[in-house]
Amino acid sequence: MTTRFLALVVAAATTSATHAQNITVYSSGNVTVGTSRQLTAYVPLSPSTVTWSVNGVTGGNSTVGTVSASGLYQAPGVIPAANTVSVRATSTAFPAKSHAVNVTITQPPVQLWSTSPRSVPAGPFAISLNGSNFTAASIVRFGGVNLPTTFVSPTRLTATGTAPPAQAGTNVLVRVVNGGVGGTTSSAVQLTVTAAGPPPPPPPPVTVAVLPAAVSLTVGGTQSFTAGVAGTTNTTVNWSVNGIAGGNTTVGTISAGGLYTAPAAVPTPAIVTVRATSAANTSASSTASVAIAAIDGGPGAGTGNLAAARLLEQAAFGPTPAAIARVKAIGVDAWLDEQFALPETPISNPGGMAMSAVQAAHLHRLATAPDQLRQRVASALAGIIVVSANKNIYPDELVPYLQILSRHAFGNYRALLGEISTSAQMGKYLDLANSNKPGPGGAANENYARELMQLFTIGLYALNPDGSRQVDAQGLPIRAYTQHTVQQVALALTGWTYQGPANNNWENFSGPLQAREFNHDTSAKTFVGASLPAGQNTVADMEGTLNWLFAHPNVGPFVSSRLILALVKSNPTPAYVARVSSTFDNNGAGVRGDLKAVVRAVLSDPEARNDTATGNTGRLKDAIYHIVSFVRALGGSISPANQQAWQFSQMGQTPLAPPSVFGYYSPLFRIPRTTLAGPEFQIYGPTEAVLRGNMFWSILSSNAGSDLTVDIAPFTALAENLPALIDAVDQALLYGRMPAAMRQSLATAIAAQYDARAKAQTALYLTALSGLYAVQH
Amino acid sequence: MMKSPSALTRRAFLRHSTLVATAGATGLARLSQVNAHAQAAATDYKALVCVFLLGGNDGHNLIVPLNGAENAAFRAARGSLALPDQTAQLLEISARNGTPYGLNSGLAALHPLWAQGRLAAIANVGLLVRPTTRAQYLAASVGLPSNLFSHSDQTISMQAGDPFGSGGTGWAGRIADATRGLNAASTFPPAISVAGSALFCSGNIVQSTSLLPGNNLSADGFATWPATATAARKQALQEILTFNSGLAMVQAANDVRADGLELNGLLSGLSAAPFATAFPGTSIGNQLKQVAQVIQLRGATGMKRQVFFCAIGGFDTHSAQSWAQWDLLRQISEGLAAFHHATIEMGVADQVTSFTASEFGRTLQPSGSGSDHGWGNHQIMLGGAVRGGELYGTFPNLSLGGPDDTGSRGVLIPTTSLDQFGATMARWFGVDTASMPAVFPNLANFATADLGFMI
Repeated sequence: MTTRFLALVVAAATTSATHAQNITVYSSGNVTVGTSRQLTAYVPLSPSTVTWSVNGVTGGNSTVGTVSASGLYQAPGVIPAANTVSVRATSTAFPAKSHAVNVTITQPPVQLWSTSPRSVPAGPFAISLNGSNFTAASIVRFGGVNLPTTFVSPTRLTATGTAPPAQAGTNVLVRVVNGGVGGTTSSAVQLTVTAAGPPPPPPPPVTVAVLPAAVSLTVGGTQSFTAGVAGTTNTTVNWSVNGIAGGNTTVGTISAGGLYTAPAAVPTPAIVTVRATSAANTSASSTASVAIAAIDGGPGAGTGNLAAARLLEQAAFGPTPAAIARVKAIGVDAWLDEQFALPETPISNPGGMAMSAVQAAHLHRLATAPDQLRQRVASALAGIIVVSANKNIYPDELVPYLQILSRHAFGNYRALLGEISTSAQMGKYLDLANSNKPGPGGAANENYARELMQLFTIGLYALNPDGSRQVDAQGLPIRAYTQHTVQQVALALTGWTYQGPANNNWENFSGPLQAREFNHDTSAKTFVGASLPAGQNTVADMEGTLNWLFAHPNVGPFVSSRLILALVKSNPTPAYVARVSSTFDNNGAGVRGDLKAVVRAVLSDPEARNDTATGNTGRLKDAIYHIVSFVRALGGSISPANQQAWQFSQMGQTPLAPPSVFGYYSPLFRIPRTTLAGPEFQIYGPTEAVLRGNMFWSILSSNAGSDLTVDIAPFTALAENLPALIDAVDQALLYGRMPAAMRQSLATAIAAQYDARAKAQTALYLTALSGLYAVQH
Repeated sequence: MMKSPSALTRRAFLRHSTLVATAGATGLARLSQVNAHAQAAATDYKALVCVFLLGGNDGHNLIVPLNGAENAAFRAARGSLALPDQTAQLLEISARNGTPYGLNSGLAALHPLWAQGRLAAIANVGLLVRPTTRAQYLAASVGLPSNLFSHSDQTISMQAGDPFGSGGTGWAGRIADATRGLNAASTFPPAISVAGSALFCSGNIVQSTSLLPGNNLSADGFATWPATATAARKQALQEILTFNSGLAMVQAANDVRADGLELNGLLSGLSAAPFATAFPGTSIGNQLKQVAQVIQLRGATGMKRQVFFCAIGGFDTHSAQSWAQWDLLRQISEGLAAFHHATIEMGVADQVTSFTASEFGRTLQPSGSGSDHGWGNHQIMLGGAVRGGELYGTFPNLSLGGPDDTGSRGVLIPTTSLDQFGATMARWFGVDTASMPAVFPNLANFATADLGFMI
């Protein structure tokens, strides 16, 4: 074929040389990308030779296509952006003579052969199309309307659309349009639209409802969802998260039972959709949304001081740098041994009428005594066995009681009960002194008997070894004793008076109570599960009563719980209580009530020594502990003659003067609106919180004078080095657990302060105000 | 890091959290007692205000019988303490049946309110286990309150509303427990002491909240120079309290301090709208002013029921009683009169009831220039809801060694129990019958649960 055209050209050139006519090139049109087309130049000139070019480039190039000397145009492999090119033939003898044609380079032409089905009812429809050269950019055009199209393969498309009722009974032309540069459109096939079909089936009768419909979780948190399924007996649902069956570690997982566990990191977006789909009808489903947030205030990892500091929060009035070093050097057990062996810091009795001196000395001792563990345990015991300066207003009426608690802190609980029961101080506070055997129709004073049982030994209800209440067949708690028992104990404890010559002596606090058989009731007494024979003397009945109470199975869990609450945490697990309780029952050498062993069990238990704070862990610091530990942490002191008792009374904790025999706060107090125990929260309201904060500020500003001092120089020295300052404060007060977000907040606040002192004060003050510092954890 | 833009958001978030279940729907989370209580929210406002007279007020010189025989018995028993004396005159009042009595002239500021029907009194009320006669007392044949005549014990027992002083809760706190549903969604403290922490306001559920008169809970660390430094500290604290630690106790502690910040915001705004009523600058005047200011916030807080505790000391008048008591009564009288006028000013005079209480009365028989610890005592009640101008209860026989005397010194056995007195006000306040035994455990031992002095 090429030869024939060439011959023609040559012939024409030969025959037309004298006519000097124009060149004509045949022919314009489309060339599919990558294919070729033979062009022909009619040259009525002589010589008739021509030069071919594309877009002015002789012979063309790979972008616009090439053309051979004989006019064979080869389209490029890729469609150029300007896909119409000009191919020109120019006379070699007469360069002014030329002619060009436009050639359009196209995609491979799309072809439509058929649709399936060939007819659709008016209304929504879906069709499949067969043809060739379909691409992802192919669009099905139904009449003049582009339909949502899905590319299945180069020879198959699917599309959905809606045929208006007006098209019923007509044929609608369907084409496929391949868009883009060099795109093509297929020829049309006819699709017949029939009358509207039967109405769609009613929605499936199966319905699913998920509860709760919307929740917020922190990372790693869990939420149990329930799915109610109606309309089928198969109530099985399949759970998915963001469409992923069972979820995954990115969006959270969900169990077959609907327990959703949030991912460890906040996903993007932070709200995920939990869906329950009916197994009986997969078109029935319901969703819940879960917003996931970071635990942004979560503790930092802690430093190497954390373990020692936590021990000292529990076993002392908070850590000092020196105490931390000591614990780290010798370990928990050896440190406890060392503390057990330390000589008792004496508690002196100033006599006279000034209780303020006793209160001042008390605060000084808590902050500075080397035998910190004894101070801490004695304070815990003072919260169980209460004598208050509210009633016992003079030093003689109180100090010997403090000495008894201090002396017995590591002794035996039975011995403590014996000494406290006959102390003149308790004798006044709870009226055992001069409680005489009653006359006919009368009753003995029940005050000490009642509190001895309710508050000092066994409590109101029968306990399991883990501290939980025993219940009867109706599920009601079983009382440990009755009013009759109170009266019987009251009778057993008659006959005690203050020191002096008479059977009933005036108040005298120079020594313990004395027995007077004249005033002792000698009848037989019956308790719960025990009795005392008639005719016993005052001392024998006291001993018999205390022996019965001390042997009661409640004492172990009762006292152990109270010590754990006071030293370690407000919400111990029953297992923790049970472990300590068993030590109370038997110290390993067959001894019951060994407080040294009990204290060791409380403090060395894995639950106490777990340095990873979680959930409900910890204990709110009471006012005295909060302030004393702050002073200790910052290398300060409380002077022996301080006048700070009034400050604490404003905060609901007048030193040594709890308002009643129930102490400053009840061990049963629960944080409002929660099920969490939080005894110390009973005296921590907004006013008290602000006053504690003001006391921190007063201390940091040296406004408390020599009463309360701290050394903030080490922090002031770091004031121009923000990270170092924050590190130091974190180390001193939070032992490296300050969250990153809090560090950031502190940094901003510190930077706004005008001098080094204000910067250091700001860092310490704001940290002291944080809940992380308020809660020993 | 998720920093909630406001406390509301913080708590709304925490409410759903399984890690932390400590917070409420809106501000003042910890003080809120909103929960699934059967009562519907109240539409009206009511407040009970206790003025506690620490030390044991001598009620015998608060209200003096003026009728011939009773006045003669009074004079015979009181001896040198009998009124009028050179300090205290008697302001005449009469019961509805015309029986004349005299009010200590220390109460001059309140005296006109008797005739206006807004002031009433109750005679010889005190702690009892059950009705008790002199014979029963002497034979100890009925249960008796423990530690009678002991300040510390009776102060506890009178606030506890329990003759044994046990239980660790106060009767106003239990009233607040029983009426917490009436406050619906409001989250302001329902039981407030303006006299330090008070057992009186502690419930089993409701926590006693103390507010210091004149203290708007501003933090000292936020009064520094320059203002930008303070602002930065405040901002940081807000953030620190808002972070979610995932630790429930930490969160609860943060909520308390956040509540302090919010209360500070509420209380700081008070001084901007002072009362036209001038309060005396006494301790009790300042306390009652603080109570009035909190009542003034009721629209902002949405509170419907609140109980308040005020206290004034110095009533343990073993000697030099005359002037001392007159002066203390004057302070109370002027304070309460101003308070009542402030409630009129606020339009809540009919919705606020105040009353006095004291740990015990005193002996009729003097000891030198004073008197000793007694038992039954007279008290006054004030407010538009009080059926005023009447002396309620049974006026006791004032004869030494008489039928109401425990012995021979005029330590009078109460003829009305605290339970009855408190329950009458509790009923008005909204405690339903079913809840009453939990508030006043011994009420069932007495014939009358409502003494009729409240509307």
